[in-house]
Amino acid sequence: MRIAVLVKIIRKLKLEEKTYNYEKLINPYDLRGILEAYLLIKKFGGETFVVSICEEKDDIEILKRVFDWGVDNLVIAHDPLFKDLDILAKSKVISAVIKKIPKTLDIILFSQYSPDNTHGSLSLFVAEKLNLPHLYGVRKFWIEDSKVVSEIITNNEIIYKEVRMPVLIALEPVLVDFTKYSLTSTGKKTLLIWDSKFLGLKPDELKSKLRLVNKYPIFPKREVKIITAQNYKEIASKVVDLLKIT
Amino acid sequence: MKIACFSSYKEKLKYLISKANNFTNSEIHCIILNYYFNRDEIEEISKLSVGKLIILTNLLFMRYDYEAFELGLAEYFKKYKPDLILTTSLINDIEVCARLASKLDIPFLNYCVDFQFKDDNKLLAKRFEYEGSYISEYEINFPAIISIIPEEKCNLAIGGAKEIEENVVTVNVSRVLIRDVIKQETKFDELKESKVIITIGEEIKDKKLLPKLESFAKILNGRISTNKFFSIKNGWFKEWIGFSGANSSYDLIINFGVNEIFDFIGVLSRAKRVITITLNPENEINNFSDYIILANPNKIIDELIRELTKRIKK
Repeated sequence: MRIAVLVKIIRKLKLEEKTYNYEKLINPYDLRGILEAYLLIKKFGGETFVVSICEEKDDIEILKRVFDWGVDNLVIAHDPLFKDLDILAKSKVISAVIKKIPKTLDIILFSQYSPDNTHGSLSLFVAEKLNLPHLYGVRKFWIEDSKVVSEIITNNEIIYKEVRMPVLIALEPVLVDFTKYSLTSTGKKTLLIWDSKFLGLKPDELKSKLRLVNKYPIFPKREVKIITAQNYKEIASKVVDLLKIT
Repeated sequence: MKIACFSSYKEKLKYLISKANNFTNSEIHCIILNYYFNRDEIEEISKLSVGKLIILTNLLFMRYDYEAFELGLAEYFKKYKPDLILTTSLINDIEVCARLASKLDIPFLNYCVDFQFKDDNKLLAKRFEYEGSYISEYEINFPAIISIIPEEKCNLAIGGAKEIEENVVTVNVSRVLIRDVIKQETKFDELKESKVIITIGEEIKDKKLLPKLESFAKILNGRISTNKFFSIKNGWFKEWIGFSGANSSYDLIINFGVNEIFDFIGVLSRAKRVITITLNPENEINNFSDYIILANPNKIIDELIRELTKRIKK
Protein backbone atom coordinates (compact mmCIF):
# COMPACT_ATOMS: atom_id res chain seq x y z
CA MET A 1 0.00 0.00 0.00
CA ARG A 2 1.28 3.49 -0.85
CA ILE A 3 -0.01 6.35 1.21
CA ALA A 4 0.62 10.09 0.98
CA VAL A 5 -0.10 12.46 3.85
CA LEU A 6 -0.38 16.17 3.27
CA VAL A 7 1.38 18.11 6.00
CA LYS A 8 1.25 21.83 6.46
CA ILE A 9 3.45 24.20 8.38
CA ILE A 10 1.18 26.57 10.24
CA ARG A 11 1.62 29.83 11.96
CA LYS A 12 -0.37 29.30 15.07
CA LEU A 13 -2.07 32.34 16.49
CA LYS A 14 -0.61 33.15 19.86
CA LEU A 15 -1.86 35.92 22.05
CA GLU A 16 0.92 37.54 24.01
CA GLU A 17 0.21 40.55 26.14
CA LYS A 18 -1.81 42.78 23.86
CA THR A 19 -0.50 41.62 20.51
CA TYR A 20 -1.12 38.65 18.25
CA ASN A 21 2.01 36.65 17.47
CA TYR A 22 2.66 33.46 15.54
CA GLU A 23 4.74 30.38 16.11
CA LYS A 24 5.63 27.93 13.31
CA LEU A 25 4.84 24.26 13.72
CA ILE A 26 3.50 21.21 11.88
CA ASN A 27 -0.29 21.35 11.88
CA PRO A 28 -1.03 19.15 14.92
CA TYR A 29 -4.05 17.65 13.16
CA ASP A 30 -1.86 16.41 10.29
CA LEU A 31 -0.20 14.09 12.80
CA ARG A 32 -3.35 11.99 12.74
CA GLY A 33 -2.77 11.32 9.03
CA ILE A 34 0.85 10.32 9.73
CA LEU A 35 -0.31 7.94 12.46
CA GLU A 36 -3.09 6.41 10.30
CA ALA A 37 -0.57 5.89 7.48
CA TYR A 38 1.95 4.33 9.89
CA LEU A 39 -0.61 1.87 11.25
CA LEU A 40 -1.83 0.89 7.76
CA ILE A 41 1.69 0.34 6.45
CA LYS A 42 2.50 -1.74 9.51
CA LYS A 43 -0.51 -3.93 8.77
CA PHE A 44 -0.41 -4.15 4.98
CA GLY A 45 3.18 -3.18 4.10
CA GLY A 46 4.18 -0.45 1.68
CA GLU A 47 5.54 3.07 2.02
CA THR A 48 4.52 6.54 3.12
CA PHE A 49 5.06 9.91 1.53
CA VAL A 50 4.66 13.17 3.37
CA VAL A 51 3.90 15.98 0.94
CA SER A 52 4.22 19.63 1.85
CA ILE A 53 4.56 23.08 0.35
CA CYS A 54 7.33 25.05 2.02
CA GLU A 55 7.16 28.78 1.73
CA GLU A 56 10.43 29.34 3.56
CA LYS A 57 13.59 27.27 3.67
CA ASP A 58 13.59 26.88 7.47
CA ASP A 59 10.23 25.08 7.18
CA ILE A 60 12.16 22.12 5.72
CA GLU A 61 13.99 21.57 9.04
CA ILE A 62 10.68 21.55 10.90
CA LEU A 63 9.28 19.01 8.43
CA LYS A 64 12.23 16.61 8.78
CA ARG A 65 10.75 15.61 12.15
CA VAL A 66 8.32 13.37 10.26
CA PHE A 67 11.15 10.88 9.70
CA ASP A 68 11.05 10.11 13.43
CA TRP A 69 7.43 9.10 13.03
CA GLY A 70 7.92 6.28 10.55
CA VAL A 71 7.66 8.30 7.34
CA ASP A 72 9.72 6.89 4.43
CA ASN A 73 9.69 9.81 2.00
CA LEU A 74 9.37 13.54 2.48
CA VAL A 75 8.47 15.39 -0.71
CA ILE A 76 8.64 19.15 -0.49
CA ALA A 77 7.49 21.70 -3.03
CA HIS A 78 9.72 24.71 -2.53
CA ASP A 79 10.06 27.66 -4.85
CA PRO A 80 9.77 31.47 -4.54
CA LEU A 81 6.64 31.11 -6.70
CA PHE A 82 4.93 29.05 -3.98
CA LYS A 83 4.64 31.94 -1.55
CA ASP A 84 1.21 33.29 -0.54
CA LEU A 85 -0.69 31.04 -2.91
CA ASP A 86 -4.45 31.03 -2.96
CA ILE A 87 -6.28 27.74 -2.55
CA LEU A 88 -6.62 27.13 -6.28
CA ALA A 89 -2.89 27.59 -6.85
CA LYS A 90 -2.03 25.46 -3.80
CA SER A 91 -4.16 22.64 -5.15
CA LYS A 92 -2.27 22.84 -8.46
CA VAL A 93 1.09 22.56 -6.69
CA ILE A 94 0.00 19.63 -4.50
CA SER A 95 -1.58 17.81 -7.44
CA ALA A 96 1.58 18.33 -9.49
CA VAL A 97 3.67 16.86 -6.65
CA ILE A 98 1.38 13.85 -6.24
CA LYS A 99 1.41 13.19 -9.98
CA LYS A 100 5.23 13.24 -9.97
CA ILE A 101 5.46 10.57 -7.27
CA PRO A 102 6.27 7.36 -9.16
CA LYS A 103 3.58 4.65 -9.15
CA THR A 104 0.00 5.25 -8.09
CA LEU A 105 -0.85 6.13 -4.52
CA ASP A 106 -3.67 4.17 -2.90
CA ILE A 107 -4.67 6.69 -0.26
CA ILE A 108 -4.02 10.41 0.11
CA LEU A 109 -4.71 11.74 3.59
CA PHE A 110 -5.50 15.33 4.50
CA SER A 111 -6.61 16.90 7.73
CA GLN A 112 -9.96 18.53 7.12
CA TYR A 113 -8.81 21.74 8.84
CA SER A 114 -5.78 23.34 10.36
CA PRO A 115 -5.83 25.69 13.34
CA ASP A 116 -4.92 28.66 11.16
CA ASN A 117 -7.48 27.86 8.49
CA THR A 118 -10.86 26.45 9.30
CA HIS A 119 -12.20 26.79 5.77
CA GLY A 120 -11.30 23.20 4.95
CA SER A 121 -11.64 22.99 1.18
CA LEU A 122 -8.08 22.35 -0.07
CA SER A 123 -8.56 18.58 0.03
CA LEU A 124 -11.63 18.90 -2.20
CA PHE A 125 -9.76 21.06 -4.69
CA VAL A 126 -6.93 18.51 -4.85
CA ALA A 127 -9.32 15.56 -5.22
CA GLU A 128 -10.88 17.29 -8.22
CA LYS A 129 -7.52 18.14 -9.79
CA LEU A 130 -6.45 14.48 -9.44
CA ASN A 131 -9.88 13.23 -10.51
CA LEU A 132 -10.13 11.12 -7.37
CA PRO A 133 -13.20 10.36 -5.31
CA HIS A 134 -13.08 11.85 -1.84
CA LEU A 135 -14.33 11.10 1.65
CA TYR A 136 -14.72 14.26 3.68
CA GLY A 137 -14.82 14.79 7.45
CA VAL A 138 -13.94 11.17 8.20
CA ARG A 139 -13.96 10.16 11.85
CA LYS A 140 -12.90 6.53 11.25
CA PHE A 141 -11.92 4.49 8.23
CA TRP A 142 -10.81 0.96 7.54
CA ILE A 143 -9.86 -1.25 4.58
CA GLU A 144 -12.05 -4.03 3.22
CA ASP A 145 -10.37 -5.71 0.22
CA SER A 146 -9.62 -2.87 -2.18
CA LYS A 147 -12.22 -0.59 -0.64
CA VAL A 148 -12.02 2.07 2.00
CA VAL A 149 -15.02 2.24 4.31
CA SER A 150 -15.49 5.41 6.32
CA GLU A 151 -17.63 6.66 9.18
CA ILE A 152 -18.70 10.29 9.00
CA ILE A 153 -20.64 11.88 11.83
CA THR A 154 -22.82 14.94 11.32
CA ASN A 155 -25.11 16.66 13.80
CA ASN A 156 -27.92 14.23 13.16
CA GLU A 157 -26.54 11.29 11.18
CA ILE A 158 -23.80 8.68 11.14
CA ILE A 159 -22.99 7.98 7.50
CA TYR A 160 -21.01 4.99 6.26
CA LYS A 161 -19.50 5.46 2.81
CA GLU A 162 -17.37 3.10 0.77
CA VAL A 163 -15.12 3.74 -2.17
CA ARG A 164 -12.53 1.84 -4.15
CA MET A 165 -8.92 2.95 -3.88
CA PRO A 166 -7.29 5.24 -4.95
CA VAL A 167 -9.11 7.75 -2.80
CA LEU A 168 -8.47 11.06 -1.08
CA ILE A 169 -9.58 11.21 2.55
CA ALA A 170 -10.05 14.40 4.56
CA LEU A 171 -9.84 13.34 8.19
CA GLU A 172 -11.80 14.99 10.94
CA PRO A 173 -9.19 16.84 12.97
CA VAL A 174 -8.24 14.94 16.10
CA LEU A 175 -5.20 15.43 18.27
CA VAL A 176 -3.20 12.21 18.55
CA ASP A 177 -0.75 11.13 21.18
CA PHE A 178 2.26 9.51 19.44
CA THR A 179 3.71 8.26 22.73
CA LYS A 180 1.04 5.56 22.87
CA TYR A 181 2.16 4.00 19.58
CA SER A 182 5.98 3.86 19.78
CA LEU A 183 6.47 5.07 16.22
CA THR A 184 9.91 4.27 14.86
CA SER A 185 11.97 5.56 12.00
CA THR A 186 12.09 3.26 8.94
CA GLY A 187 15.64 4.15 8.12
CA LYS A 188 14.73 5.01 4.53
CA LYS A 189 14.31 8.76 4.98
CA THR A 190 14.29 10.05 1.41
CA LEU A 191 14.07 13.82 1.14
CA LEU A 192 12.99 15.26 -2.20
CA ILE A 193 12.71 18.98 -2.87
CA TRP A 194 10.92 19.92 -6.07
CA ASP A 195 10.63 23.37 -7.61
CA SER A 196 8.13 24.87 -10.06
CA LYS A 197 10.29 23.98 -13.07
CA PHE A 198 10.53 20.33 -12.07
CA LEU A 199 6.79 20.23 -11.42
CA GLY A 200 6.05 21.90 -14.76
CA LEU A 201 4.18 24.82 -13.19
CA LYS A 202 4.23 28.23 -14.81
CA PRO A 203 3.89 31.56 -12.92
CA ASP A 204 0.64 32.39 -14.74
CA GLU A 205 -1.02 29.20 -13.50
CA LEU A 206 -0.29 30.13 -9.91
CA LYS A 207 -1.41 33.75 -10.08
CA SER A 208 -3.90 34.49 -7.32
CA LYS A 209 -7.50 35.07 -8.31
CA LEU A 210 -8.26 36.58 -4.91
CA ARG A 211 -6.80 39.81 -3.58
CA LEU A 212 -6.82 40.48 0.15
CA VAL A 213 -7.76 44.13 0.61
CA ASN A 214 -8.38 44.36 4.34
CA LYS A 215 -8.18 42.32 7.53
CA TYR A 216 -9.38 43.27 10.99
CA PRO A 217 -10.33 41.60 14.28
CA ILE A 218 -14.04 41.52 15.05
CA PHE A 219 -13.77 41.59 18.79
CA PRO A 220 -11.36 43.45 21.02
CA LYS A 221 -9.10 41.41 23.26
CA ARG A 222 -10.64 40.75 26.66
CA GLU A 223 -9.26 42.22 29.84
CA VAL A 224 -8.52 39.00 31.68
CA LYS A 225 -8.95 38.93 35.48
CA ILE A 226 -7.62 36.07 37.61
CA ILE A 227 -9.75 35.07 40.58
CA THR A 228 -7.92 33.56 43.53
CA ALA A 229 -9.17 32.17 46.84
CA GLN A 230 -8.09 30.04 49.78
CA ASN A 231 -10.47 27.12 49.35
CA TYR A 232 -13.18 25.73 47.04
CA LYS A 233 -15.98 27.25 49.11
CA GLU A 234 -14.51 30.70 48.66
CA ILE A 235 -13.90 30.09 44.95
CA ALA A 236 -17.51 28.97 44.50
CA SER A 237 -18.73 32.09 46.25
CA LYS A 238 -16.61 34.30 43.99
CA VAL A 239 -17.77 32.50 40.83
CA VAL A 240 -21.40 32.90 41.87
CA ASP A 241 -20.70 36.60 42.49
CA LEU A 242 -19.59 36.82 38.86
CA LEU A 243 -22.86 35.26 37.74
CA LYS A 244 -24.61 38.25 39.31
CA ILE A 245 -27.11 36.11 41.19
CA THR A 246 -27.90 37.74 44.50
CA MET B 1 -24.98 40.35 -13.37
CA LYS B 2 -26.08 36.72 -13.35
CA ILE B 3 -26.26 35.08 -9.92
CA ALA B 4 -26.95 31.37 -9.47
CA CYS B 5 -28.11 30.18 -6.05
CA PHE B 6 -27.44 26.57 -5.13
CA SER B 7 -27.98 24.63 -1.93
CA SER B 8 -29.16 21.18 -0.98
CA TYR B 9 -31.04 22.69 1.99
CA LYS B 10 -34.41 24.27 1.22
CA GLU B 11 -34.42 26.89 3.98
CA LYS B 12 -30.87 27.91 3.25
CA LEU B 13 -31.66 28.21 -0.44
CA LYS B 14 -34.37 30.72 0.46
CA TYR B 15 -31.76 32.72 2.35
CA LEU B 16 -29.43 32.72 -0.67
CA ILE B 17 -32.23 33.91 -2.95
CA SER B 18 -33.14 36.71 -0.53
CA LYS B 19 -29.48 37.74 -0.48
CA ALA B 20 -29.27 37.70 -4.30
CA ASN B 21 -32.47 39.72 -4.57
CA ASN B 22 -30.70 42.62 -2.82
CA PHE B 23 -28.97 43.23 -6.15
CA THR B 24 -31.87 44.60 -8.12
CA ASN B 25 -30.27 44.62 -11.56
CA SER B 26 -29.22 41.02 -11.39
CA GLU B 27 -30.67 38.01 -13.11
CA ILE B 28 -31.17 35.32 -10.48
CA HIS B 29 -31.16 31.61 -11.16
CA CYS B 30 -32.04 29.02 -8.59
CA ILE B 31 -30.67 25.50 -9.04
CA ILE B 32 -32.21 22.58 -7.28
CA LEU B 33 -31.76 18.86 -7.42
CA ASN B 34 -34.79 16.80 -8.21
CA TYR B 35 -35.31 13.80 -5.89
CA TYR B 36 -33.46 15.65 -3.18
CA PHE B 37 -36.37 18.03 -2.74
CA ASN B 38 -39.88 16.62 -2.74
CA ARG B 39 -42.71 17.89 -4.96
CA ASP B 40 -44.11 20.26 -2.29
CA GLU B 41 -40.71 21.73 -1.63
CA ILE B 42 -40.12 22.34 -5.33
CA GLU B 43 -43.54 23.99 -5.51
CA GLU B 44 -42.61 26.20 -2.56
CA ILE B 45 -39.29 27.20 -4.13
CA SER B 46 -40.96 27.97 -7.46
CA LYS B 47 -42.94 30.73 -5.73
CA LEU B 48 -39.79 32.67 -4.90
CA SER B 49 -38.72 35.61 -6.97
CA VAL B 50 -36.16 34.22 -9.40
CA GLY B 51 -35.57 34.65 -13.11
CA LYS B 52 -35.09 30.95 -13.74
CA LEU B 53 -35.66 27.86 -11.67
CA ILE B 54 -33.48 25.06 -12.94
CA ILE B 55 -34.32 21.56 -11.79
CA LEU B 56 -31.48 19.12 -12.29
CA THR B 57 -32.53 15.52 -12.57
CA ASN B 58 -30.49 12.36 -12.16
CA LEU B 59 -31.23 9.14 -10.34
CA LEU B 60 -27.96 9.36 -8.41
CA PHE B 61 -29.28 12.47 -6.65
CA MET B 62 -31.46 10.16 -4.64
CA ARG B 63 -28.52 9.21 -2.50
CA TYR B 64 -26.70 12.51 -2.42
CA ASP B 65 -23.89 11.87 -4.80
CA TYR B 66 -21.65 14.91 -4.84
CA GLU B 67 -20.05 13.93 -8.14
CA ALA B 68 -23.43 13.88 -9.86
CA PHE B 69 -24.30 17.26 -8.31
CA GLU B 70 -20.96 18.68 -9.36
CA LEU B 71 -21.39 17.52 -12.91
CA GLY B 72 -24.94 18.88 -13.02
CA LEU B 73 -23.71 22.27 -11.86
CA ALA B 74 -20.79 22.19 -14.31
CA GLU B 75 -23.23 21.57 -17.17
CA TYR B 76 -25.38 24.46 -15.92
CA PHE B 77 -22.28 26.69 -15.74
CA LYS B 78 -21.31 25.83 -19.29
CA LYS B 79 -24.77 26.63 -20.59
CA TYR B 80 -25.59 29.83 -18.69
CA LYS B 81 -22.18 31.24 -17.72
CA PRO B 82 -23.21 32.87 -14.41
CA ASP B 83 -20.95 35.56 -12.95
CA LEU B 84 -21.44 34.27 -9.45
CA ILE B 85 -22.54 31.01 -7.87
CA LEU B 86 -23.83 31.58 -4.38
CA THR B 87 -23.94 28.65 -1.99
CA THR B 88 -23.90 28.03 1.76
CA SER B 89 -21.05 27.16 4.09
CA LEU B 90 -22.70 23.90 5.08
CA ILE B 91 -20.60 20.82 4.45
CA ASN B 92 -22.71 19.17 1.72
CA ASP B 93 -22.72 22.39 -0.32
CA ILE B 94 -19.00 23.00 0.19
CA GLU B 95 -18.17 19.45 -0.92
CA VAL B 96 -19.91 20.07 -4.22
CA CYS B 97 -18.91 23.68 -4.83
CA ALA B 98 -15.23 23.44 -3.85
CA ARG B 99 -14.78 20.62 -6.36
CA LEU B 100 -16.74 22.57 -8.93
CA ALA B 101 -14.50 25.64 -8.51
CA SER B 102 -11.46 23.41 -8.90
CA LYS B 103 -12.93 21.82 -12.04
CA LEU B 104 -13.80 25.21 -13.57
CA ASP B 105 -10.55 26.78 -12.34
CA ILE B 106 -12.40 29.71 -10.80
CA PRO B 107 -11.98 31.29 -7.34
CA PHE B 108 -13.93 29.94 -4.41
CA LEU B 109 -14.26 31.81 -1.14
CA ASN B 110 -16.08 30.09 1.67
CA TYR B 111 -17.42 31.17 5.06
CA CYS B 112 -18.33 34.64 3.74
CA VAL B 113 -20.52 36.87 5.84
CA ASP B 114 -21.30 39.49 3.24
CA PHE B 115 -20.52 40.50 -0.32
CA GLN B 116 -21.09 43.32 -2.76
CA PHE B 117 -20.33 44.02 -6.39
CA LYS B 118 -17.49 46.29 -7.32
CA ASP B 119 -17.28 47.67 -10.86
CA ASP B 120 -18.61 45.36 -13.56
CA ASN B 121 -16.36 42.39 -13.14
CA LYS B 122 -15.41 42.26 -9.49
CA LEU B 123 -16.83 41.19 -6.19
CA LEU B 124 -15.87 42.33 -2.72
CA ALA B 125 -16.52 39.62 -0.15
CA LYS B 126 -15.98 39.56 3.60
CA ARG B 127 -15.21 36.29 5.25
CA PHE B 128 -14.42 34.86 8.65
CA GLU B 129 -10.85 33.94 9.45
CA TYR B 130 -9.49 32.24 12.54
CA GLU B 131 -12.91 30.82 13.36
CA GLY B 132 -14.63 34.13 13.15
CA SER B 133 -12.30 36.18 15.33
CA TYR B 134 -11.10 38.07 12.25
CA ILE B 135 -12.74 39.34 9.07
CA SER B 136 -10.88 39.49 5.79
CA GLU B 137 -12.06 41.40 2.76
CA TYR B 138 -11.21 39.95 -0.64
CA GLU B 139 -11.54 41.31 -4.13
CA ILE B 140 -12.45 38.56 -6.58
CA ASN B 141 -12.76 38.53 -10.34
CA PHE B 142 -15.80 36.95 -11.93
CA PRO B 143 -16.76 34.22 -12.50
CA ALA B 144 -16.51 32.99 -8.91
CA ILE B 145 -18.19 30.87 -6.28
CA ILE B 146 -18.75 32.09 -2.76
CA SER B 147 -20.29 30.29 0.16
CA ILE B 148 -22.00 32.31 2.82
CA ILE B 149 -22.91 31.50 6.39
CA PRO B 150 -26.69 31.41 6.27
CA GLU B 151 -28.68 33.28 8.86
CA GLU B 152 -31.86 31.88 10.34
CA LYS B 153 -34.14 34.63 9.09
CA CYS B 154 -34.44 36.36 5.74
CA ASN B 155 -36.77 38.66 3.83
CA LEU B 156 -38.28 36.53 1.14
CA ALA B 157 -39.18 38.05 -2.19
CA ILE B 158 -42.26 36.20 -3.41
CA GLY B 159 -42.84 36.73 -7.09
CA GLY B 160 -42.62 33.30 -8.63
CA ALA B 161 -40.04 31.89 -10.99
CA LYS B 162 -40.34 33.48 -14.42
CA GLU B 163 -39.17 30.30 -16.12
CA ILE B 164 -38.82 26.71 -14.98
CA GLU B 165 -36.43 24.41 -16.78
CA GLU B 166 -35.71 20.76 -16.14
CA ASN B 167 -32.28 19.44 -17.14
CA VAL B 168 -31.26 15.81 -17.11
CA VAL B 169 -27.70 15.34 -15.88
CA THR B 170 -25.85 12.72 -17.86
CA VAL B 171 -23.61 11.20 -15.16
CA ASN B 172 -24.43 7.59 -14.38
CA VAL B 173 -21.57 6.30 -12.26
CA SER B 174 -21.08 6.92 -8.60
CA ARG B 175 -17.65 6.19 -7.23
CA VAL B 176 -18.59 6.78 -3.61
CA LEU B 177 -21.37 4.56 -2.31
CA ILE B 178 -23.41 5.22 0.77
CA ARG B 179 -23.49 1.97 2.68
CA ASP B 180 -25.66 3.06 5.58
CA VAL B 181 -27.10 6.13 7.30
CA ILE B 182 -28.07 6.03 10.96
CA LYS B 183 -30.27 8.88 12.13
CA GLN B 184 -29.32 10.38 15.47
CA GLU B 185 -31.40 12.36 17.87
CA THR B 186 -30.06 15.85 18.17
CA LYS B 187 -30.65 18.76 20.43
CA PHE B 188 -28.38 20.98 18.40
CA ASP B 189 -31.00 23.66 17.75
CA GLU B 190 -31.75 23.81 21.45
CA LEU B 191 -28.04 24.29 22.04
CA LYS B 192 -27.92 27.14 19.56
CA GLU B 193 -30.85 28.85 21.23
CA SER B 194 -29.47 28.63 24.77
CA LYS B 195 -28.01 31.79 26.22
CA VAL B 196 -25.87 30.14 28.86
CA ILE B 197 -23.47 27.34 27.99
CA ILE B 198 -21.41 25.23 30.35
CA THR B 199 -18.58 23.62 28.38
CA ILE B 200 -16.76 20.54 29.55
CA GLY B 201 -13.16 19.81 28.57
CA GLU B 202 -10.17 17.59 28.97
CA GLU B 203 -9.60 18.33 32.67
CA ILE B 204 -12.91 16.72 33.59
CA LYS B 205 -11.81 13.15 34.14
CA ASP B 206 -14.92 11.35 35.31
CA LYS B 207 -18.15 11.01 33.35
CA LYS B 208 -19.98 10.71 36.69
CA LEU B 209 -19.57 14.46 37.10
CA LEU B 210 -21.82 15.14 34.12
CA PRO B 211 -25.15 14.94 36.01
CA LYS B 212 -23.78 17.45 38.52
CA LEU B 213 -22.68 19.79 35.76
CA GLU B 214 -26.07 19.35 34.14
CA SER B 215 -27.81 20.40 37.36
CA PHE B 216 -25.51 23.41 37.59
CA ALA B 217 -26.41 24.36 34.01
CA LYS B 218 -30.10 23.83 34.73
CA ILE B 219 -30.04 26.27 37.65
CA LEU B 220 -28.60 28.86 35.27
CA ASN B 221 -31.17 27.96 32.63
CA GLY B 222 -28.35 26.82 30.40
CA ARG B 223 -27.07 23.72 28.63
CA ILE B 224 -23.93 21.69 28.99
CA SER B 225 -21.88 20.95 25.94
CA THR B 226 -18.32 20.60 24.81
CA ASN B 227 -15.97 21.57 22.03
CA LYS B 228 -15.46 19.33 19.04
CA PHE B 229 -12.27 17.67 20.22
CA PHE B 230 -13.53 16.57 23.57
CA SER B 231 -16.64 15.27 21.88
CA ILE B 232 -14.65 13.20 19.40
CA LYS B 233 -12.16 12.01 21.99
CA ASN B 234 -14.44 10.60 24.64
CA GLY B 235 -17.85 10.31 22.99
CA TRP B 236 -19.68 11.78 26.02
CA PHE B 237 -21.56 14.21 23.80
CA LYS B 238 -23.24 13.80 20.45
CA GLU B 239 -23.22 17.54 19.81
CA TRP B 240 -20.65 20.23 20.33
CA ILE B 241 -20.17 23.92 19.95
CA GLY B 242 -17.88 24.68 17.11
CA PHE B 243 -17.50 26.79 14.06
CA SER B 244 -21.01 25.99 12.86
CA GLY B 245 -22.19 27.94 15.88
CA ALA B 246 -20.39 30.99 14.56
CA ASN B 247 -23.60 32.96 14.35
CA SER B 248 -24.60 32.09 17.90
CA SER B 249 -23.88 34.65 20.52
CA TYR B 250 -24.08 33.43 24.09
CA ASP B 251 -24.57 35.65 27.12
CA LEU B 252 -22.38 33.49 29.29
CA ILE B 253 -19.96 30.62 28.72
CA ILE B 254 -18.44 28.83 31.70
CA ASN B 255 -15.59 26.54 30.72
CA PHE B 256 -14.84 23.62 32.99
CA GLY B 257 -11.36 22.35 32.23
CA VAL B 258 -11.47 23.10 28.50
CA ASN B 259 -7.95 23.12 27.04
CA GLU B 260 -8.41 22.91 23.28
CA ILE B 261 -9.61 26.10 21.65
CA PHE B 262 -9.45 25.17 17.98
CA ASP B 263 -12.95 25.30 16.44
CA PHE B 264 -14.03 27.24 19.52
CA ILE B 265 -12.37 30.67 19.22
CA GLY B 266 -15.23 32.19 17.22
CA VAL B 267 -17.84 31.14 19.76
CA LEU B 268 -15.71 32.39 22.66
CA SER B 269 -15.07 35.69 20.89
CA ARG B 270 -18.78 36.29 20.42
CA ALA B 271 -19.85 35.45 23.97
CA LYS B 272 -20.67 38.42 26.16
CA ARG B 273 -18.94 36.93 29.20
CA VAL B 274 -16.54 34.01 29.51
CA ILE B 275 -15.52 32.40 32.80
CA THR B 276 -12.87 29.67 32.74
CA ILE B 277 -12.12 27.21 35.51
CA THR B 278 -8.86 25.43 34.77
CA LEU B 279 -5.85 23.89 36.41
CA ASN B 280 -3.61 25.21 33.68
CA PRO B 281 -2.33 28.79 34.04
CA GLU B 282 -0.88 28.58 30.50
CA ASN B 283 -4.18 27.43 28.99
CA GLU B 284 -4.77 29.18 25.66
CA ILE B 285 -8.43 29.58 26.49
CA ASN B 286 -7.41 32.00 29.26
CA ASN B 287 -6.74 34.62 26.59
CA PHE B 288 -10.34 34.44 25.49
CA SER B 289 -11.81 34.64 28.99
CA ASP B 290 -12.93 37.55 31.16
CA TYR B 291 -12.31 35.65 34.37
CA ILE B 292 -9.92 32.78 35.07
CA ILE B 293 -10.26 30.63 38.14
CA LEU B 294 -7.17 28.51 38.65
CA ALA B 295 -8.70 25.53 40.40
CA ASN B 296 -9.55 21.89 39.84
CA PRO B 297 -12.84 21.89 37.91
CA ASN B 298 -13.57 18.36 39.21
CA LYS B 299 -13.56 19.57 42.80
CA ILE B 300 -15.36 22.87 42.54
CA ILE B 301 -18.69 21.70 41.16
CA ASP B 302 -20.29 20.56 44.47
CA GLU B 303 -19.50 23.86 46.14
CA LEU B 304 -20.77 25.79 43.14
CA ILE B 305 -24.14 24.04 43.16
CA ARG B 306 -24.42 24.53 46.94
CA GLU B 307 -23.59 28.24 46.74
CA LEU B 308 -25.80 28.89 43.73
CA THR B 309 -28.79 27.11 45.29
CA LYS B 310 -28.23 29.05 48.54
CA ARG B 311 -28.23 32.42 46.77
CA ILE B 312 -31.31 31.58 44.70
CA LYS B 313 -33.21 30.53 47.84
CA LYS B 314 -32.28 33.84 49.46
